[in-house]
Amino acid sequence: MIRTADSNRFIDPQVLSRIRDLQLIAKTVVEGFLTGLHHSPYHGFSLDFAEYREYAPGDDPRLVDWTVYARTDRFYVKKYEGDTNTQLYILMDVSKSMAFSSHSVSKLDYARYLAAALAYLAMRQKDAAGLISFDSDVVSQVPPRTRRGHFFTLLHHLEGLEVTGETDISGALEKLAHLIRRRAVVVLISDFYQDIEKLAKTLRFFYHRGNDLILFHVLDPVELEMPFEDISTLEDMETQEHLSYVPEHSRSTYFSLLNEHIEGLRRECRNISIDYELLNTEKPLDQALHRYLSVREKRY
Amino acid sequence: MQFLAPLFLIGALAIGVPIFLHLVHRERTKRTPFASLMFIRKIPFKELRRRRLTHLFLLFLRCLGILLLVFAFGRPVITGAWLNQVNPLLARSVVILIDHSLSMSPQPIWDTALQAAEEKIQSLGQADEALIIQFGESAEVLSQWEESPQQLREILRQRTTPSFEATSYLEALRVAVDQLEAARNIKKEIYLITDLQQAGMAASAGWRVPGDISVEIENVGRETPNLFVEEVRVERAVFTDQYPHTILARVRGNPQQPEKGEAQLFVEGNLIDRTTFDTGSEGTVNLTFKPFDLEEGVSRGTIVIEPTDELPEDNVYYFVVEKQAPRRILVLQDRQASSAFYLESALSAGENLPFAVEMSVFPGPEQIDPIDTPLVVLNDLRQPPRLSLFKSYVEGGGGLIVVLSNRVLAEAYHRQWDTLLPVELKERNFVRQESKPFTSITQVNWEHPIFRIFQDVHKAAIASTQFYSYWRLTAKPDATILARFNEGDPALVEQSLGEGRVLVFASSLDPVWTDFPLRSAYVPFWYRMAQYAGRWQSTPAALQINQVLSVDSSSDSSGTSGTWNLIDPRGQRVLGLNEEKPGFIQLKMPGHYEVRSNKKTDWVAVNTPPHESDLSPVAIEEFQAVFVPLEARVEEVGFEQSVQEKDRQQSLWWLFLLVGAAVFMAEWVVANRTRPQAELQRESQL
Repeated sequence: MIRTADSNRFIDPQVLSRIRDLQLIAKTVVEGFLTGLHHSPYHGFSLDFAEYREYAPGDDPRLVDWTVYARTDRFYVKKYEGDTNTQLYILMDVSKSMAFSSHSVSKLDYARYLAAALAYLAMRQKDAAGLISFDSDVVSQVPPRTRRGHFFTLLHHLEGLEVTGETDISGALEKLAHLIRRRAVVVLISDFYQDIEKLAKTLRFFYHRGNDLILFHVLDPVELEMPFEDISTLEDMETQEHLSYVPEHSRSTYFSLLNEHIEGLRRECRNISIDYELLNTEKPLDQALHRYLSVREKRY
Repeated sequence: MQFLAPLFLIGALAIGVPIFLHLVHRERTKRTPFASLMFIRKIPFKELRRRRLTHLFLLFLRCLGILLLVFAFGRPVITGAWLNQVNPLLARSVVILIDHSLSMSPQPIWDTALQAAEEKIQSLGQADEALIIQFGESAEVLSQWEESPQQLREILRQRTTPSFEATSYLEALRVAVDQLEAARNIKKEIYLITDLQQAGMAASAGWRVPGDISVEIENVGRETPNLFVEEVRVERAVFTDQYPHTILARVRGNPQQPEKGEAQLFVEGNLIDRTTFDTGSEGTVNLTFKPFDLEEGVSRGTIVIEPTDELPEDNVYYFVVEKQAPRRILVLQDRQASSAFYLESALSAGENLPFAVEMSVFPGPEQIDPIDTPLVVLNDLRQPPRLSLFKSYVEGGGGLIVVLSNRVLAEAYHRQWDTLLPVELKERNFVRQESKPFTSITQVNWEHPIFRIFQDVHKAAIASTQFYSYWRLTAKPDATILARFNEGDPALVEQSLGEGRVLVFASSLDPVWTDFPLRSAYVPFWYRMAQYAGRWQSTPAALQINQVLSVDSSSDSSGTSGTWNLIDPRGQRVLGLNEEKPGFIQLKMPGHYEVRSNKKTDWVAVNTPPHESDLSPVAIEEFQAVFVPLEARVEEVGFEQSVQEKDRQQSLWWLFLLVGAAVFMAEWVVANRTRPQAELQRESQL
């Protein structure tokens, strides 16, 4: 069966949710995405030699240039154009609010797909991809690697993620700052239920350390549209606090505060040259991949 | 609006259930998980509560349905009071007339009457006003228009009591109409609670209840046989050692239900005689009791019939007999005067004589005591006796009758007795010598005590008396002419002087100038003359309820006041020593009243009015024909009818039930249209 490029590019997340295999999801998304790029702006990726770097613990021993070792008696690792400069850190919010869903794909699921796709894309480009999950603290971490089996490690880790505590992005980022020492591409996937000023302060810290940050703001369509027509009592999934929701009274206030929050985030990101993308869990992932690749391109 | 089963109204609390569901329960059941409440603001409670009533219409239908069902089970009754509140123009002024006559006293008639009055008060609306009048023979206004229903109920409970009186609808309706003139509402109503007794109907003399007043009659009476002592013939004053007559008593019962029984005569508690009776098909029987011996003074007697019935008060007849000394009448005449034989014979005729006639020759005794000798008759004296003696005698309370005849010298009377006589003597008028053979008395004051007994059927006995001669008299200004001859000349003239009276008769006592001594009216005429002039009033052996007792006549004749007591048949003092001495006391209770004066003890017997014991009812049509104009509304409610009417009024419960069911059907439709939409919407959203 012949499928058009467009049909492959924009695979509905709800369709992806029926695919159990996260690898297949990532592959499907990325391959479809890349196939659709008729004039790819990302030609610079290649396996051209760039430099030697002294071996460091953790480097794949297979990358040691034995010729240089023979000449110099030192271990040097061969660095290529495509994989020597970029480390991708995927920071994933696993607080309880990420479990919210109004359809078959929760925000956590969507974040999981996105992380898998980004990791696949990165690995395909020989970038090192790592994964850190957090709520108010660091929950788990997988250091970025470029070796071939690392992708499966990431996928395995992604599949095992579960929502845990309350959101505290600033607190979590401050704690994991020491884990990201080098200049890297940091992808932060969260619903960002966090005070903007406090968050902006942390983001500035990361930015000034030479990292490229991409903020993927994942929200459910219900959070974006708030379509409740009836009076109801809403219960906070993290704190179990509950408040009455009266559409006539609450909706306008909600939109006003949400838009103010999004615009605040966007504004702060713009001020410190951070990429920001608002993602609707009903929409395909290609927009996020575009955003990642544009950032990746800027680095080279 | 009233409810026959008001306890069901507690079920109205059930409207709290839908309200609870709308306000409280709803919140608990519809808690929705949400990612974060960061952008949700707390809503003020009032705003929230108001907003929560989104399905007000649904809530309204549910509450209305529940209330209608509760009302239906409460058996609502729409009353006039409720209608009055709806329309103030329907406000009424109601006079509640409660018959408390003797016939109302048997139970449960009286309790039923009070219950009817209570219900009437309860039916009053806010704009209504009411007044309570209880009536028997007379009417008594018990409340004011301003009184509240609660006050009216208290008055009803505290001040209305059955009495021993007779019934008079005329008196009651007149008082009610008088009171309604001061009422403030246009709609006026008389609510008459009675047993509709025939005996209460009296000639209204054309008076009727005004047409703008409606009359509603609550007939609480019932057909019941009643045996009672209708009449007893007994005289109080007895001048012999033994009661001189046979005591006659008439017992009446229901002609349709002849009764047999026994009657007993008691005097001072001692059984004197007893006799059996059978009322028979006529419903009445006359009984006689044998004469009995009397002690000095007053003796109390009763006649008791058995078996007793629901009105025991009329099964006993109370009476009093008093053994008295005859009163002395002094007849003074000239030695050669015409005989007073006829007068002496008239006043001495029969048994049990109240008078003792004593003949005396001019100039008579030196002193005359008005108490010992209450009456002196001067029979055809040529010239009058000593003026000072008789003037002081009359002024002291003595009675003086001057009979003018052939021997009288007018000059002597003018000269000596001008200040004592109420007339001037002119001349003798010898009618026989003129064109006609005789004259007669043609103008009489029939209302006067002397002539009262003749006024009905015996007028002719006076008018047919022939007078051949008489003295032409001219009455003095202060004198009263009681009778005139055909010529206009006074025949009998009276004048009061001090405590006594002077009467002048213009013709003779013997049959020389008149044939009056030969007429049947002669004896009763002179009997009455002696009683009146001597101020001797016969007291009846028994009085009836509501009759008046003159304390003056019962107390000491010396006129001393403040030293007497009136004790009712229950032994309770009615009036006594330190109270102002009233002229009259109305007797309200059957039995023997004791009157204790400073010198003696007297007794007065009081009985229930016999016509009140006739319990025959009157038809409502007859009542209306007598008292109510044709255009006025008369409605006989009747206790049984009242219940039926209430049953009819409260039959609207099914209407409430029907409307309630319709409301719940509407609620079902509305709920099915609104609830699924909201729920499906929420489900699609989540």
